[in-house]
Amino acid sequence: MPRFLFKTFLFVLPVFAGFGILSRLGFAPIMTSSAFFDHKMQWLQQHPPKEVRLMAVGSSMSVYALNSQMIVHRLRLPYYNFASWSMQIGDTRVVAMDLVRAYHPDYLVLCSSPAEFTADDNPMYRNYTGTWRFIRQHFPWYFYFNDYHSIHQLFLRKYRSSHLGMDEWGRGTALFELQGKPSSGAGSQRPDANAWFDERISRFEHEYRQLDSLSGWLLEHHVRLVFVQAPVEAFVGQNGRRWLQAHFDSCRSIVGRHGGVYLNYYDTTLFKNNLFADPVHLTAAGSDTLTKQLVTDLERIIPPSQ
Amino acid sequence: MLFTTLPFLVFFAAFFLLYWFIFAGGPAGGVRRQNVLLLVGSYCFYCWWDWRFVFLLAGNSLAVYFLGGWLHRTAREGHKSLLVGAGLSLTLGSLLYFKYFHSLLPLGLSFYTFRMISYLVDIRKAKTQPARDLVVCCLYIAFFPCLLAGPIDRPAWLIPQLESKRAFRYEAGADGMRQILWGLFKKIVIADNCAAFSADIFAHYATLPASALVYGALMATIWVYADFSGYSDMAIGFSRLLGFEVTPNFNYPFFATNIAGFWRRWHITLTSWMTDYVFTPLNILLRDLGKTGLALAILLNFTLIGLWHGPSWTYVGFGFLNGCYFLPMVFRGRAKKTGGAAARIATFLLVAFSMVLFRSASLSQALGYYRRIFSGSLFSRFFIFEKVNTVATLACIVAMFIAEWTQRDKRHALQIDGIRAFPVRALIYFGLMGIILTFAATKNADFIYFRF
Repeated sequence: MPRFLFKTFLFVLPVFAGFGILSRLGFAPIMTSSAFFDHKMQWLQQHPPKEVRLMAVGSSMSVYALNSQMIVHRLRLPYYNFASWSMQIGDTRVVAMDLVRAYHPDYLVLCSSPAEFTADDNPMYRNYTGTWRFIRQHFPWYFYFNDYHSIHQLFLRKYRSSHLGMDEWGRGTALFELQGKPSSGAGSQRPDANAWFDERISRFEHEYRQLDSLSGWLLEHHVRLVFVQAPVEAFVGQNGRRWLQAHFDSCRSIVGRHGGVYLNYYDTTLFKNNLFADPVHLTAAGSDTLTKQLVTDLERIIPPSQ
Repeated sequence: MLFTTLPFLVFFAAFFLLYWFIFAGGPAGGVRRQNVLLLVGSYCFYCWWDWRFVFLLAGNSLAVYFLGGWLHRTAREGHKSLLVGAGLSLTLGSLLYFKYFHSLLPLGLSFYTFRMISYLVDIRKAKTQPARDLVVCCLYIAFFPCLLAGPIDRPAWLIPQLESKRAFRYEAGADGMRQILWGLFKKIVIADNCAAFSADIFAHYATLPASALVYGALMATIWVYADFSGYSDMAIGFSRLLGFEVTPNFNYPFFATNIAGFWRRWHITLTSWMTDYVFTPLNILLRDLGKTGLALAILLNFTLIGLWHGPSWTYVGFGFLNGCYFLPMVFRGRAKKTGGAAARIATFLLVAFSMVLFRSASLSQALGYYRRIFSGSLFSRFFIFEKVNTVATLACIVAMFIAEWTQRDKRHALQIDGIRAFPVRALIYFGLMGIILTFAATKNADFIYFRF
């Protein structure tokens, strides 16, 4: 038996050593399917913010549309943007609960578009947040082996992932490479937004339950939710007025029920088509317009003494 | 808790150390203590999936144990038939109910039900003795390396091993590790990648040329083989680490020269189980009909094998089609003839053809797939995603077949006893491990046979 155990040990040792070398060479473990989320979490491990009173979470709308400098300079609050691409509300809920436990903010801003209510939740975020924080912080190489990703995948992640740029408050900067380009929908055939919504009605209902759960949980933990309904391009509203209004009403009702603040910036006169990079994402100029509005509202919501 | 995941490796490492260092030894060599640990470990392993169904497993095991005991003690034929009937009603009833009338299928139900039936029928036929104690009987049914997808060991083979003292043998342990490594390679490099390729093609078959569909059918065939034989290799390897020899489930089926040979080498424990408990009685029943009776028995047997996989016409069609492959042999008496490479390739293609039914989500999809295969675009080019992964997987498939061909007289392809030089052996092991770590599929899929 000792001979067997010794030989097994000799066989396994180089495997661990190999991953140690990969780590040294900058091939970070894959924790979730989002390169941006993994990058942000790893960066945060190395540079944890000292204090976060105002926290932004959510998907690409929160990543890009919230101008960090404007928020920090006008509100003068410790702020960090923890949002990442391609998250559904259910994913945001899981991640936000974990982050609130870690950073204890007073306010949580969730800047949302209807696209965050349309797809299946990604179980990888649950796997990540379900892993003990101690392991996440001190033994990140655990993720090399948990939910295994091949070395080939590590190479692809390292060399093919792009657009991971962030400012010092976690805001993504890559979308603005699109600045100046026409809206993705321009000139193309517009889908019937009502039909599109009807096809996804069950997903929306699931995500409303997730939003309800998050709002209730934040209330219990004395964190004020500020739900920001981001603007969408005019054609979405024109082509799907019925469902868009229903969506706004649902979100307002859920957030309001749990003492949260609901802010709706759907305004086609203010957010004209030239401020959109695609039907839901804003250009840099559009983001600045949105952030100005938001900060003005936040100054009203957050007491000046804070 | 898949064999290929970190939680299982941690579970097994801890279990292995407890099993050999803490629970071995003591009275009677620690057999009973080890068995109790094995049973607790097996039930914990099962609970990891869904704790609710452990009661079904334990309850049925308990009933089978007592029925087996009574069956052995009673001398009256009427009582014996009654007891076997009760046991079959209970076990087959559970199987039929959950498999065909319930939305949730308890994992491994088809496999452990067959073990229970073997236990009762073999006691009835005096082929085996009942287990000495309840723990052994429950363990025969729930032995965790084989619980979820076999091999389906017979009681006369496994129960004596469970009742005897076991010692760790270095050669068996080391070979078990090699078999696990080979199974891991087949599962996570070949099967999981082929699963992704074939899934893409089956999902979009209506818009793809025939060449892509042929490629998809071949990928699906290799997927099912690599997945299930990879799982079986790992199950056998883990069993050997615990001191047990379980029945092999595959014997290089793609090297068979006819369909009968294929089925003698494919999912051996199920095929032999069906032969003993279904085909032979049917054949005896229909023997007066001559060759027609034999053909009917084969068709029924294979249709039931298909139906065993699930309540779907695709599985029925898969079984029936494979049964039909036997008919020329039955009526022309060509089963004993052997052929060379051409016969092997023809057998492989026949199996791949039937795998379209096995892999399809519905009968209409399978029929549509067949129609498009014969649509005349057999030599059209088609687009392949993830070229690096595809090329690596195809190279690994070729390597697998070469290794299995050269090692076809061994238990598994990595049994390289003939190579004495340590550096060469080390190169093979670390090379294979490197390939596994580098080209493992992105998505670690469940073992396909878990769903049956």
